[in-house]
Amino acid sequence: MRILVVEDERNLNNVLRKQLEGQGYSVDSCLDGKEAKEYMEMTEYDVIVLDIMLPGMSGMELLKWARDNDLNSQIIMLTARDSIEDRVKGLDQGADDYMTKPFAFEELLARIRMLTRKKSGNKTNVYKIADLKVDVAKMKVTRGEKEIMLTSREFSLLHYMITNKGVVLSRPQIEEHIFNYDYEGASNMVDVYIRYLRKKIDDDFEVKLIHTVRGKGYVLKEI
Amino acid sequence: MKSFSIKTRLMFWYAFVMILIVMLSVLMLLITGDRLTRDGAKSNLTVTTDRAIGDIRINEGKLNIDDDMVYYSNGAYVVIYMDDGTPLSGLELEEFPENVKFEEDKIREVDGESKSFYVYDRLIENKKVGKIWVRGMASADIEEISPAIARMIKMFLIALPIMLILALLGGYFASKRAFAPLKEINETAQKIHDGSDLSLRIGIHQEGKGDEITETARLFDEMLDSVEKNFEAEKRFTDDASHELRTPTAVILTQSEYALGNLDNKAEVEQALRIILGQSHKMTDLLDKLLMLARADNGRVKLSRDLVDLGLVLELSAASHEREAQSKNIDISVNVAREISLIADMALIERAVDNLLSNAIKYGRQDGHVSMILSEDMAGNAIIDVSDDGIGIPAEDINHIWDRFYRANGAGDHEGMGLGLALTQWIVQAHGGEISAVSEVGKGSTFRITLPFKREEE
Repeated sequence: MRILVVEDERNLNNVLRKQLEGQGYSVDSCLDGKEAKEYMEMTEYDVIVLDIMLPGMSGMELLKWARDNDLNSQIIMLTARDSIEDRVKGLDQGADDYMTKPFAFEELLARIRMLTRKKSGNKTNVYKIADLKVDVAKMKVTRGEKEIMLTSREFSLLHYMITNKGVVLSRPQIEEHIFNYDYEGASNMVDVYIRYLRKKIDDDFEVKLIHTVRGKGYVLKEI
Repeated sequence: MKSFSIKTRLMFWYAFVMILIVMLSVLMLLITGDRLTRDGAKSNLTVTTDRAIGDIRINEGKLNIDDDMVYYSNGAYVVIYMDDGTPLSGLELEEFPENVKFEEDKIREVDGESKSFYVYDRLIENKKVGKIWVRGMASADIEEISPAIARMIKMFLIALPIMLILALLGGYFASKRAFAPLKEINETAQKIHDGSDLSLRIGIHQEGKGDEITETARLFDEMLDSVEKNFEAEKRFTDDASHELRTPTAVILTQSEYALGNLDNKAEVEQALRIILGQSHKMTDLLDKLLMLARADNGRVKLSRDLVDLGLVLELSAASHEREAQSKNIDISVNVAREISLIADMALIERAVDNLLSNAIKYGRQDGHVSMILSEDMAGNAIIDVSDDGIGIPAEDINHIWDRFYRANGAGDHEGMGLGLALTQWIVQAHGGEISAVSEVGKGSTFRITLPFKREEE
């Protein structure tokens, strides 16, 4: 899952980023509206945490721009204002959720999970395929009775694949969703992580879930 | 006690006064007419009686009545009586009561069975014949004296209720018309109350009538304008204040959460604590200013009055901002052209100067220069100029810099103007002074405080 944090209060921005990264998300962050627009043009983020009051270009303008350009990202607006008009206007213009500062980080996490779930059509935080279960709230993965320990990057990859189960995901697509711009890895990092992941969730089991689609990419599915 | 609407009361008053005037005038007319008629009847009675006397002669002890004696004229009847009341001659009036005593030369009114009469007696005394009474009688009933007047009274009695109704209707319509605008005022007030939509206006003054109620409506509309404006400003202020307070709170909250989640990482915890401390300072400062302004708004700030050496204030302020200035390598110069001391609240004046200097440094150019000059103008005011050579203020924003939390459009600066200048302006104005700003984008700004003072007698 790839998240963009747009928040002009530097201290808040930093800590949100660190906290989200700790949860296995790959995060980009920026401090002003114009920069945010550039990020949004380059990458399709799964979730954007967008402050309303921003220098350069306001969150509301960004939101409108995103919806006019059919960006599919789930957008959570942040505001420190009291007025209900902001909330109504934001939701009217296509924001997916809305939070008033100050908020507890856990709440933001819960909402991000809810939004990604909504997108994939899953009703709980537990995604299942065959006997594989991925609990994104607890970051817990089990296959059958066996609990599988994943690194945060591996978890991020699995999370992305399981929310798109049955869909063939290209390497650039995967790369875009699990690595942020600060990541400087080799160009075949996706293949490397797929290999790690296969080792952990497929190797010891009869039914393989991660399949390679030649020339296209990877897909998570049964059979 | 049941109270009636002004409209109803006005209507009844109108009807009451109308009826009173009509009744009084008709009554006067009737009384005068009645009096005149009765006076005519009475004089006719005496004339007829007296003329009859002229026709009575006493010759050689015998009563001799002329043949052409007139016993009736215009409703007056004449009868000649002996002293014992035996009528001798004449025409008796029907229903005239019997046994009415004779009384010489006096018009009296006597009551009969169903009506009253005027009676006038004259006495003729003769030694031989004895006492002879000539009595003139006439009806005192107005219907008989003057049927026209009687008819008038009847008609008036019939017309009175009709007039009353007309007067009430007239009053009703007049007051309804007069109070129609009031109804609109009430409806608008009701609508505003029900929907709390402050943008509604009565608007009737636009119809061009200049009466009192329309004027009231216009004043109401003007009042609503300013109420709406104040309300909006208040709302914006609350909104901005909440933004300014929530943002640091959000930082403190998230940083604390983060630090608690990373207790083993000492460096991260320390950094989080430093950030929390910084944000807490920011909030304390903001709360302090907010409270100060709130107290100022309520008129609850009392200025202490001491002799303040303005030159010293500038020097102190410059000294306390030295480190801040050094971090941007800004050089502060203080130029006291004239020593000025005035009676003022030292703490507040210091605060005002501090705010200006701190802004000058904040918006000043790296390696720039900030100057503070104290001088005196021709009118005997103390002048404090604080100038920087920094980013300056765009022309469209310069009038708004005194607004609380004003945020320049599109400015890259998140902080906004905050409350500093609003507070500074209040301090200067509380001392009877003025504050102004001139600025050019890219060249810098100069803030000028003008304070009136009386030079100490030397």
